[in-house]
Amino acid sequence: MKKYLVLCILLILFVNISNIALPQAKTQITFMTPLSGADGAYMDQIIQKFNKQNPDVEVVHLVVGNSVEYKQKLSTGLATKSAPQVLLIRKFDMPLYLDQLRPFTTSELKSLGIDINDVYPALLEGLVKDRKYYGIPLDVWIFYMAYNKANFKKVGLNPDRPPRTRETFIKAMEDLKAITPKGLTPYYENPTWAWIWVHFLWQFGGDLLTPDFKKPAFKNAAVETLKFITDLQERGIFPKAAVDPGPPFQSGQTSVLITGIWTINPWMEALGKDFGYATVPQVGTKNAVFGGSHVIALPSVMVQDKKVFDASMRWVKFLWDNAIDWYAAGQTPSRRSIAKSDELKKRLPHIYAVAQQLPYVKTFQFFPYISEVLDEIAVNLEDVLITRKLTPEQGMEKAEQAVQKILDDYWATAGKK
Amino acid sequence: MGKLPFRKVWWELGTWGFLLPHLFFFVLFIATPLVINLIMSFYNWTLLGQRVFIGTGNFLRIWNDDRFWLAVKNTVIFSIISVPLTIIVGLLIALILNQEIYGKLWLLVCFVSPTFLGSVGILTTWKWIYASYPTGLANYYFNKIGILKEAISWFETSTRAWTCIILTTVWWIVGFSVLLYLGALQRIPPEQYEAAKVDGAGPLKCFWHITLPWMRNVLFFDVVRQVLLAFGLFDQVYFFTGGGPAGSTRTMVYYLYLVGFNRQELGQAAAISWYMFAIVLIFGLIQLAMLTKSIRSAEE
Amino acid sequence: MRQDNIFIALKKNKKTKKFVISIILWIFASFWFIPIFWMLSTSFKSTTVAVSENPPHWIPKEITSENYKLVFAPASGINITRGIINSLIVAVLSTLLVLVIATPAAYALSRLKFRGKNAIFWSYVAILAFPGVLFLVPNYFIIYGLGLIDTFSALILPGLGSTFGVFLLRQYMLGISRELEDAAWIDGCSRFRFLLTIVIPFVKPALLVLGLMTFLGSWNSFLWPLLVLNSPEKLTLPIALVRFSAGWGDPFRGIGPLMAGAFISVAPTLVIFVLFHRYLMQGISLGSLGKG
Repeated sequence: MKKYLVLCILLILFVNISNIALPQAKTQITFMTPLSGADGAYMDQIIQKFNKQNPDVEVVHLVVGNSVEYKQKLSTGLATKSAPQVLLIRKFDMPLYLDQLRPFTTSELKSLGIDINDVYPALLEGLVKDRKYYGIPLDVWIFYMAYNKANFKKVGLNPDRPPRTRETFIKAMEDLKAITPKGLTPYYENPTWAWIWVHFLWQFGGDLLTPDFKKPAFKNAAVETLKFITDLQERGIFPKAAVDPGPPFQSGQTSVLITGIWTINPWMEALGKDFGYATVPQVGTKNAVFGGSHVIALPSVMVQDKKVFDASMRWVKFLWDNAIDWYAAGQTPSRRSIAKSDELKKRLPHIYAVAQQLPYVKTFQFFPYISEVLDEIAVNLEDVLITRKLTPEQGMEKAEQAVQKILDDYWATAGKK
Repeated sequence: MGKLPFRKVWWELGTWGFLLPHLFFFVLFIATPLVINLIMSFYNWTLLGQRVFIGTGNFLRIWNDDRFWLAVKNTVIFSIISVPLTIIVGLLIALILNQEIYGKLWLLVCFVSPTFLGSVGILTTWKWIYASYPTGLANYYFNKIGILKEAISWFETSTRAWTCIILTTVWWIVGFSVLLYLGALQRIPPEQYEAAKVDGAGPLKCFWHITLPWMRNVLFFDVVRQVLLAFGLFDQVYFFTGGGPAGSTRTMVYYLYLVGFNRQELGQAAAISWYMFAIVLIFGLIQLAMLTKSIRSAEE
Repeated sequence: MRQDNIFIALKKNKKTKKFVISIILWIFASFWFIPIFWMLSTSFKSTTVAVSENPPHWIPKEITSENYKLVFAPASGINITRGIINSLIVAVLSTLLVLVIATPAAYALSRLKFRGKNAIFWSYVAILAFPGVLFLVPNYFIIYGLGLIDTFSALILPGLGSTFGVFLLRQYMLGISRELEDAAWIDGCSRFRFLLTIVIPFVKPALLVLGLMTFLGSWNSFLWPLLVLNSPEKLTLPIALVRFSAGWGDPFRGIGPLMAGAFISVAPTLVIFVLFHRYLMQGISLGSLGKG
């Protein structure tokens, strides 16, 4: 009995010995990002460059790719003052945490070498309160059009002048039908990918919620959007079932994708000289293109120490100055000066070309449950576009009801502060 | 006269000594959080916000939440299918391994070891096998054999998604049951079978009237374990489908995860867990009752 | 003479029958194990090859170790080798402690009599109905209150209260015959000695299984260590590997390193399983003490 208790105690002691932390000479900054895979590797290189140039600071890259886990880590960290010092956070994950982030005034940022007015205004929506900035958008993941130049040539289309309007787009797709194998369509994307719908919705002038976030606002524009998409389906230009767009595009069987900029590098590698990239065609009534942003933010509780704050801002400034290195991973700049610069044009011509859309980029509204809202709508999208159980009107009516429920939920609970 | 009660107390203390270390950690890290959860379920609380007492508000909200009941339905159907399936497959494999054959190590490794391998490695590999590419393993061979005409997306429809989930789940967890059954099988004295053979009983009758009753304790444990596991289905949904298509593979735990972590609504999440507990209790008891009945009848 | 011949012939027949059945089972088992083979095979192909090769090759045309090199390359403070060491330390300590603590508890709940036994046992079982995610946040604050954030204790101690192991062991212990117990009693054997000398050998297979499951649970645990750990030198393997998981867009863009990481996380448990399989089989056939 005694031996047993002694054993227990010894084991627990041993465990505690392994808890001893070594003292740090450098200031350690934890930089949490959602960048997994190849994106993370690009960021790693920038971090390593910084660490080399700043031997008294060490930036540690903590990658948490999944938004839900990212938020959980952030929440618990904030509650116990053990969160990362610098965050690179997806803009649509931010609303819940706005009050926890350290605000900056324009002049403060300027003195640190960051001109916040250089950032496109659409990206700053929601990040500004009382003329203070709670985050610094670093990049924009924007939609672009990827297309197969060889296929364009085959049907007599000019591979260097891809379609830019609704009419020319539909015509080009109809032409491409001739060389698209049966069972596939020229514009081959998964209809159940909700972001595509949102992208078109914004081009038809709609938005998900009313500005006060109390009601859904998408019904009319959504019906227009869905009519447009079902029209494409009827013409045989767009798939009628949930599909995986990657392999057929890679093998050249399909010709066009309207997708995120983060795919531009892999596609360029895969298709080589047959790869064409362009701004998205404007098929609706309003100039718009889907986008989102990774925002640099600092939790207030973690940067109260002056030394830590200075080190963190040095890293932020470094990232800000070397942003083009990051854009090479497949992101567009958040700043006008870079988007129009010669340096970008020379180093990353493909990013430069796509960046010309930035003046009219649109992002998700700054509502905490926005991804949930979208998920609920997506359920009905399937019924309209795939199973055809509902007409666009019916589908969007149901969607609005479901979304209203979520909004009511929010205002009844979290909204009550 | 004074010695007897003293000894009794000492005796009882000794018994508690066996239990105490475990009980200590249980109370600290399991019972206390549960009590905290119970209290939280009556509040409106998002980790960083204010705590507001709302009584049964959370419970009512969830009672009226279609998405929660959809998740319940999905979980129940999944458990009704997968638990008996795993038990049957497990028994089959255990019976096979109980025979006289060469090279049992290889069989053991193949059938049993997956249960000891972690979810990330296993599920990413299965996801890769189920890839919708024409070069994904499943698609490639199904195409070759001719069952499929072209590469399909395995998680496109809810039936297909569930089939994949059930298949992978059985593959993954059957190993643990096999070990349990094997242990119990090898403890049945062979005289029982010999006596039955003398009486002229065939293999099926032997199985039903001898094997099953002797495995009673182990089967009890395994059914409870499996039902709990089935109702706790999370990893496969997380890795394969994220709850899709259209929420049809969302299970109770996954829904809990979304509400608790995505929305950060901890009070609501706590309330969901109490609903879950009630549901699991009911179903666990039903399945146990059925099992006890069938074993009791087999014992006669 | 004739009879002997027939006997030998029958014996040979039985042996060949055994052999044939064994081979059939081996083949079937190998099919069953395909996912692991595929994981290993893919980890030695470069991603572009793995994604596009048609037909898929089981043995890669070009075996490359680039995926493993990528996984092991230290990157901005996160180190896979360190992660493996940390995970190993935590898993081994967890396993030992769980076994040491759960066994007596299971014995108490199976054989010993005391007030409140049933209440405790059934609450232990009932707890299993609650999913693990529920305990994350409350336990986080308990750990914070104890000042154990960012320590290995935080990873090890909460698991010691788990009731699964106690439940498993208790069920197994119920198989110990009463007569044996009474006999030991009369001989003046203390409960503790009984536990040590009779009970533990009896439940060896269950102990092994529990040990393996605890090891596995600790080795693969991701979300809890993610929340509780902050120092990069303490991070465990799953956290270090998450950087290789799917990015957006094409989820299989990084399948090479992903499979390499998967294999790294799977390999130790496989090795332990193979190492201990004999004990498992030995333990399982120790069936003479029991019913009847």
